[in-house]
Amino acid sequence: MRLIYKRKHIFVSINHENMSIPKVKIANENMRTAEVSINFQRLDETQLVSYFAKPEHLESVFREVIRRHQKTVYTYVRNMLLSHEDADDVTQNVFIKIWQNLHTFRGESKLSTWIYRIASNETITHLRKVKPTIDFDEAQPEFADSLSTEPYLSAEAIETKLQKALCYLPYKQKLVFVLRYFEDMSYDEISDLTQTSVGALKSSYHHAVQKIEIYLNVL
Amino acid sequence: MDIESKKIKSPFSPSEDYFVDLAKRIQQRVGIEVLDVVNREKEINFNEKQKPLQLTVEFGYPLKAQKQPKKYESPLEVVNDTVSEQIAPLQVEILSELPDNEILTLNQESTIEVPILGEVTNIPQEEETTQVQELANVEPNLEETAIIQEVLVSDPSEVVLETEDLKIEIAPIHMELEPVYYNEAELDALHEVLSSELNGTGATLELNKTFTAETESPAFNIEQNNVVNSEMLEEPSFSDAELDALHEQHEEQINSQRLAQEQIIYQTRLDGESQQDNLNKAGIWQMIPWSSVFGMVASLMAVASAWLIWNSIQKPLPIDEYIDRTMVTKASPSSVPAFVENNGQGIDISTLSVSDRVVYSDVVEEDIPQVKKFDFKKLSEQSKISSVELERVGLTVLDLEDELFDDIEI
Repeated sequence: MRLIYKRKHIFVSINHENMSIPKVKIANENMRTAEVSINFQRLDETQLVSYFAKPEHLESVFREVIRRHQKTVYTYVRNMLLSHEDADDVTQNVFIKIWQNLHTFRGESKLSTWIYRIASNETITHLRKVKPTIDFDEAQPEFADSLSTEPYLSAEAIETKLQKALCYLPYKQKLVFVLRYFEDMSYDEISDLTQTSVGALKSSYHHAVQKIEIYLNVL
Repeated sequence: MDIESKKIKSPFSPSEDYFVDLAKRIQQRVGIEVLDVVNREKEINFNEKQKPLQLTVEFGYPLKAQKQPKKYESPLEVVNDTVSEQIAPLQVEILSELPDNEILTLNQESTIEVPILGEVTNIPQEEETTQVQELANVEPNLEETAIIQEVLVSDPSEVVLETEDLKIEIAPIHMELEPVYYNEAELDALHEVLSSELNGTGATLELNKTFTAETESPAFNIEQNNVVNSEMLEEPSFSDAELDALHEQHEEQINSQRLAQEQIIYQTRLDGESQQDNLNKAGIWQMIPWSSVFGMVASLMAVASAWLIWNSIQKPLPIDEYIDRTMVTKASPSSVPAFVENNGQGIDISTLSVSDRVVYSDVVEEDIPQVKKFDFKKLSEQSKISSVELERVGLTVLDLEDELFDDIEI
């Protein structure tokens, strides 16, 4: 004898009168909780800038700005100054200025451009402190001598040679070259940063490249 | 050395630890809570385990899975061998087909209907027959372990029903049949009946015995009707002619059965041979798995089209490179004639464009270098190109008068 039991179908009815109102309240509480814990790492630049005017989020936003831009600022300053200690000091000063003026940024230019402008000014200020008689139209080849003793320096010879060649450029051309070549900024961005015409920047960059190529062949 | 064609990186590459430390020092200096700001969030890799791509294609006849004997592994399908073994000697025929039983869950609003299918066993007609009846009224003691809980939802449109598998456990059924005992009076009556039959009285004995089968679950009654007809005991008498006729009839039956079997075998062979013939006629074309071939062709076409699309997509030029290229192409044509006839009258400058005037004044008329200040931004595009070109060939020197290094007000 064999008995076979098969399930045919299941009827399930839901009592809609017992809809739970507390769940809605819980959901609302979750929404408030989620708003507090914003993941700033997932925001794009425009969204991040929108939080600059909110004092309750300012510290978190500033940490995110550090996270995103500290490497670029350090590298840019290091390319201009070559010294690691100087670059370290200037980078800290740059972010202190960013922190002091974060609430004034209105998003009229790109955040990165604004940070590069602050970094450029801090670099010049630092150079004027170190060498008050500095002439920005002249090259500073003496910086090239101390380059080989610097920490965090790549072992690639060509990269070091390029940095030495940069020391033989006037500061203006070096600035344009570094922004264009290393930082991959467009001429429009550099023009916005330096308040210089695009044509003049192109000319300056062109001369810088020619000189560097000559230096690389000679050095 | 062309540094623009082969990009040289910056030689400065501090470690991640340095930037962690730098971020902490910056936070300390600005006076905020020091937290770790360097990337710690791991990106989710959705393609960690990819299914290997099957590149092999098998040709030939597709393999057919043989039909497996049915295994009653589901808890819903129960084979109770104990009952079969006990009822089989009695040669029980279960004639009833049980109707659907209803099992109520703990939640009274959900109902599970369970049909019970009985099994019909063929038995020889000559044997005693016991009918098991009234099984339809049996309510088996079943445990239903699935509990469908009451669902409370805030939004009726977002109701998600989750049910567990229904498990029904049926206790094994043990049936113990009581032996039938006859008292002396019944045995005497039986003896009398048999004696009267032998004497040709033709009396009929009916024994109706009812016993109860003890079962754990379900409990049901088995009614045993033993009917013994004394007429069946009579031995028929046939004449020789009738016996011959019966014998012939029996032989004809055997012959007809044998003939029918041979026809079936012959027909089976014919069918097999015809199938083989059809296969041979169809040739190799039917042996080719067209679906696999079409699949391969489609795959190759997809790869080819992807390759074409990949090659047709050109990397967009950066704006600056585009401008550089257009500079070269735009600088080549010029409205200034390559050779100007010097007839002593010169050229009417008013007919020249602004850029051509610059070139004309620098090249033709002005031998003494002059310092001219002009707003580069306000020049036309052609004038800008001409100016840069003049500087490139060394006819002019463009000096930057921009106030690059004035402090920028924040």
